[in-house]
Amino acid sequence: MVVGGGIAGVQASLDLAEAGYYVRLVEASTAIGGAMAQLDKTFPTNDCSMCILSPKLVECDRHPNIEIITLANLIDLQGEAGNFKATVFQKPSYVFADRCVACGDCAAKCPVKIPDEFNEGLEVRKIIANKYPQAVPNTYAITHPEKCLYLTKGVQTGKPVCLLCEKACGKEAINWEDKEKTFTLDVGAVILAPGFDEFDPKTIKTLGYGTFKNVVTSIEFERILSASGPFQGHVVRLSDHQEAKKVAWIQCVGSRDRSIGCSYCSSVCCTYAIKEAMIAKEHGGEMDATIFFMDMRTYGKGFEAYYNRAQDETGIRFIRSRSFELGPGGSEHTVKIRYSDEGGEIKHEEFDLVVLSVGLRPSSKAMETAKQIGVDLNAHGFAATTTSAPVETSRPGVFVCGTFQSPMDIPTAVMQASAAASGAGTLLAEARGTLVKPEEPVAEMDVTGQEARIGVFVCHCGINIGSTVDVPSVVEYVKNAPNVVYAEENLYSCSSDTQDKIKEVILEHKLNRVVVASCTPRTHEPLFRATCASAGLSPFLFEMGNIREHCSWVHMKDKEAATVKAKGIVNRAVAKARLLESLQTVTIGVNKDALVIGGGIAGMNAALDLAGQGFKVSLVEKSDQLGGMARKIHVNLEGMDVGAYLNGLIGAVEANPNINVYTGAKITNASGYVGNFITTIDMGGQAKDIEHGAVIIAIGGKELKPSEYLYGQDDRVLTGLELEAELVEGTDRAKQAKNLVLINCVGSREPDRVYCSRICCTESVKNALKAKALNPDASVYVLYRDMRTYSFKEDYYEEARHKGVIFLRFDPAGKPVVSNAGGNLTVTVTDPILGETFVIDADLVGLAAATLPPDDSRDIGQLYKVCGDYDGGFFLEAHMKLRPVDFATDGVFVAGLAHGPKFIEESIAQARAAAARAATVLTKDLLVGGGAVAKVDKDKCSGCRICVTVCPYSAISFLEAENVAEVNEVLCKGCGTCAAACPSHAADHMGFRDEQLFAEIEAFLA
Amino acid sequence: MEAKKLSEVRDPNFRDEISQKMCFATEQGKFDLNYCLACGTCAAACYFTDLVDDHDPRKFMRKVALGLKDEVLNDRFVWLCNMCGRCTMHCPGKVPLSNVVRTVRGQFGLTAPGRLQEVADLHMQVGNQMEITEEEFIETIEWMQEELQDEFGDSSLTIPVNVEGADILFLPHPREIKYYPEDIKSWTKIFWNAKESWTLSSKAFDVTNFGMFSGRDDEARKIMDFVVDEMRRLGVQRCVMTECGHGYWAFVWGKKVWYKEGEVPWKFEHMVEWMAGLIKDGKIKVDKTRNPYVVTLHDPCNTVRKGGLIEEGRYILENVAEKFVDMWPNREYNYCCGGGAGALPMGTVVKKERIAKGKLKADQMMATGAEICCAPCHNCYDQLNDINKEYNLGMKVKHLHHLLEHALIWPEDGPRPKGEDEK
Repeated sequence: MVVGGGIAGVQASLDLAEAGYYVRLVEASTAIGGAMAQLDKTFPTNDCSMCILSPKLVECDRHPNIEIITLANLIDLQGEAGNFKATVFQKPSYVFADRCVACGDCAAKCPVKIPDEFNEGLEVRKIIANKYPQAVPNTYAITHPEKCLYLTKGVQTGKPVCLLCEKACGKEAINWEDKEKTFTLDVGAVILAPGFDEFDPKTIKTLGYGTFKNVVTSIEFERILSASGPFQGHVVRLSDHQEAKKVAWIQCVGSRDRSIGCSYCSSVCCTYAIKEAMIAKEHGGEMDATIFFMDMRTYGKGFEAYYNRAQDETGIRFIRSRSFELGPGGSEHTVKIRYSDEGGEIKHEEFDLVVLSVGLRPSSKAMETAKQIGVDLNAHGFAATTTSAPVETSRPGVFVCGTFQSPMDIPTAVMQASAAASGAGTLLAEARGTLVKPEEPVAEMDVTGQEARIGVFVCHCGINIGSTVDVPSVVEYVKNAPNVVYAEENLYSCSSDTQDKIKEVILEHKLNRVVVASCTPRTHEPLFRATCASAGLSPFLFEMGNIREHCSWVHMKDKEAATVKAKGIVNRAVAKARLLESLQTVTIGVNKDALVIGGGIAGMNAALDLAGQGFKVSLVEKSDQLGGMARKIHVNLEGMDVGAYLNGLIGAVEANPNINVYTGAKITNASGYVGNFITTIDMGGQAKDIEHGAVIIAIGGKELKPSEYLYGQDDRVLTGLELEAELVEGTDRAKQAKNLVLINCVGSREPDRVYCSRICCTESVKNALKAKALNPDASVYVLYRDMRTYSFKEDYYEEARHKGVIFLRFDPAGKPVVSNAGGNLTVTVTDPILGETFVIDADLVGLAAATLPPDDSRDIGQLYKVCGDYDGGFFLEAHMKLRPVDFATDGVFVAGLAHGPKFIEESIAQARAAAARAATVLTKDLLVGGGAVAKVDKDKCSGCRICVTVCPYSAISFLEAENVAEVNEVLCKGCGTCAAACPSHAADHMGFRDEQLFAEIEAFLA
Repeated sequence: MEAKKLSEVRDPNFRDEISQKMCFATEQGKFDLNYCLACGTCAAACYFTDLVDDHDPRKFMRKVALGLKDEVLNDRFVWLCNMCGRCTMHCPGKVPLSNVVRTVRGQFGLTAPGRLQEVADLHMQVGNQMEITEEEFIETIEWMQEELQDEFGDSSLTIPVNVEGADILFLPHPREIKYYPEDIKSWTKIFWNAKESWTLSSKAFDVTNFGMFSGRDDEARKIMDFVVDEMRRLGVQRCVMTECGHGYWAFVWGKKVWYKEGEVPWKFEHMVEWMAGLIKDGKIKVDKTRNPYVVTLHDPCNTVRKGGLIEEGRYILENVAEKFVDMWPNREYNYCCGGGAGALPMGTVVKKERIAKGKLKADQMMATGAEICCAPCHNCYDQLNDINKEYNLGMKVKHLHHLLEHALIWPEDGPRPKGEDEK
């Protein structure tokens, strides 16, 4: 059971379902999607949030192994890991889900308006509604029965009050008899992914939220930015809906604030504020954007470059100041901010709109659930976990992922979700495949050589299409088109009774092509294809015309023109249908063994999870012993004895019968593709081929040897790891040091190495605390640019200040100077607040040196056709947001430092996520490919290899012997890039062949 | 600026020394000054930062954090700061800045400048800061009693002094005895109207405590002892004090920090609390038309921001005056009048700054368009009068009891001033 249908819950469900487990996804609201569905864009790629999320949601909805239970909460959990009885409480929706087609006719008539929660109350909605236009499942519901006229007055008086929704519904989908339900389910494991609560800024009265109309929260601002939001994406003041010309963001609202009991850092607000400011500037033209912050915490992959871009290219102003209060401006439509710059000069500035970057609070509902099911919380109210078990709660068999574990960004949540899926999958390995529903294929008719017999179904979509487009005339029009042997109109083409009808008509009229003119193929094409398949017709003989999004919705005011356009669209679909071919799919067998490259913490964790799930794993380590980078780490801030943990891990790996360890082994060659790789390793001259179906690259990273601050010239200047070793060992000079100076950002955030190394601020805090523990009277200074102790690491930054560690900020322009005058080591630095320069005598200097990518990332990357060259040598995942452990190349996954600097718990989570993702491949007996993919006509191919270079999925290989390119149909995603690039027209995209596209264009313009 | 050798100017223990020297066992956990993030909230929250020199609370805290002891002890900020607490209301590090200032003032061998320390010394020597003898006190009370008897046409009416077993000990400000005896009549009438059981003491009639601002806790406790001993002697249930801000806060806070838990069992009430209660409980009836003025209210930092008496003053004014207008900002977010933390007794040492700071309040007052500005604090009252003069505001400054007394409706079954029926 997965509790919570946000991106984390969705990812965990998909991973488990794909790996052969039956998943119940319990969601508290009426639709899955969570907070990510509300976002406009996502950092650092500025992808449209809904566009990248929606396919996952649809996949979840359609997956035969996932059952979505909406309006529901887990309220009790009895039993034990592997065998729970989970009690679920479900609120009534008052709508039959199997009848509702989400046409919206009920909402159009409903007279009761309430604030729309999805739009953060910036807009009203009807009491019967779907959560958002693309909601999954897209079922309407009466979410506030206490405000429904019938359910209150009607039921009380026994009279037919209102009932407008019932009358409007053409599907008899309103269910007044719906009741609250409590039911118990047998589940083996529970994954908590309940998300977060937004911090309520009313708690801080001086920020004027609720007092000034033009002060909004960052989530409200996401809705303002969204094209589907209340202002169609126009950045406006709420007071008068005029364009906002000056917008300010205030950071740390409800974060890093002891005065209101939220002392941790919410991890995401700095980067999301940059994103909002960037997008707002894109929307708002000449808009001025200013971000007020304390420390700019752009610590994630690609974030620092994003921050630089915001400053240098986008022209966003960054002001290092926490402001106390917002006051009324010169006009009723502006808000004044008084602030002190770092040097102490007081400034006043007026803004049209002030966005409060609200923090992430632990979900209050989830805290309640946790209490009910016996899951411990940490001091901040989030689910308590440990470094070595980052997704395991205190109750065995109950896992956690996403923002209920700690405040985190989307990729980290996705990573954790996959890790939790791996945890659950390992626990339930024996039950894999026992509950999933096998699909029963229907034998496909052979239509080769037949003349096209096309059936056309034109949809009214309730009134969505029918009230604008004259549907009967479209049907009449298309009836006469060549090859059309059947045409009819449907009220709802997508309803389940229409599916039966379509199937019947296919058989009765011996149709060999089907066209549905209705809505978008993005959501509905799979449904109609499945219907065709159920009638024995190849799904590739189906074509769709979108007369809703592309026609009725956008031409509502011109019905005649809309009807003409609809005819054109249908004509186009028919023209293509005539030329459709029944495409062949191919299947390949899957080798069920895995290869893990790298024997550090990440590699070993990935290997153990895969082995736990029953897969045979080859673990290849180039050095002579397992352990990797962690051998140099002794303790972490959370008190983990890294050495002991590592020994335990090595012991477990070596004792595991499913794992073959190869140390001192170098990878010399790799060939094959997903399901069927062959990797050659060399062990001191002895070569060995390993066959495997998937590979996880976890080859680690290393610490920079600095070239500044007298490193290498004065032996009192050490790197962070070297200093840690001395502090842990308690060397004489470490014990006797009266003054220790730690300098951050050494080799990171520099012009030639832009990225932030993420972990070094915390490493300095750790070393500072260690030094204080060793000698409480020592003066310890940390010289930093921005303290990036995100999430709960902030606790240790606090502890360090509490213990008397001095933190001094510097700018890159005024870097500290380390000098040795006559043996006397000093560090000179200027305090920006007092404007005074201090010379600090230093006994030891610790440099928080950058984390570097592994030396062999490019080589390994080339062998497996993945990008190992991002940011100077880190591996680049398939998608920074939603596919953080996958590569664009199928069957290859990444984990640990090789992907980017990260903490031990993050490496472990990512490793286990990679294991979960690999398991989705290894579980399958056969992989299906082909169909609408590219093909290269060998006769036309000139061997120029352009297609090989442009293919983003490495699906095209070059056959040297024949001097031609060949597409691997299993790897090809059907993107069409090669077909467009091929100068000889040798590459062709099945289902989108040139003649098909030309026919479509001609028919549409006819 | 020349680089300073940190080892020469830094006392690494300074920060801890301040923490340890901050008084009080009971609230220790709350006073941790180590969490400062140097974020600048305090600098922006303090409206005097850019109004006068040497007034940036962040710079002050930064010096403390770095252990620049000598610089801190010689920092003018120590004596310029009004300890109003606005800077650290929403301090993300919960730094108790006004207490840091207070501790530096009193625990590091500094002597309060101007007359501040003299006043505290005098208080300790004679029991009140104005050298009023017991005889003078009784004489003044009797004089006012006579005038009131005339006004009421009833010679049996008394102002109770040293009455054992009374419910309330009322604590005046000595200047009410010495300079503003009309005030005695004002609050006596309220007591009479409400038929309260109350008494004055001829030994403890000084609400003030400048140990609050000198930062010397031993002296502050000695000063508070005069009242505590007298409450014990008279066996009263509670203490109600005249409209004095710092005095109120000294009792409420001092009881927790200068005494052991339970050592001072009584409740200390500011007069606005008591007066608002009388109206709310129907113990007195008032007629707001008798004050046909536009009135505004200054929120004293000690009673409002620190003491939490936020709505009481507003409630009274809404009941006793025809039109009440608030300043902006108001309530716990008010600006200090500029006269707090002993700025008045410090005299010329900080006068230039005190008057400069007053401009802020002057603007705030004028923006309300009020004819009268009420200040339930003697110190603020004086500062507001200075501001009134300096910036030609032409406004009247009053205490709340002045307006309340004027709005009193006298019941048939008790003492009534002559001529009340005609009103």
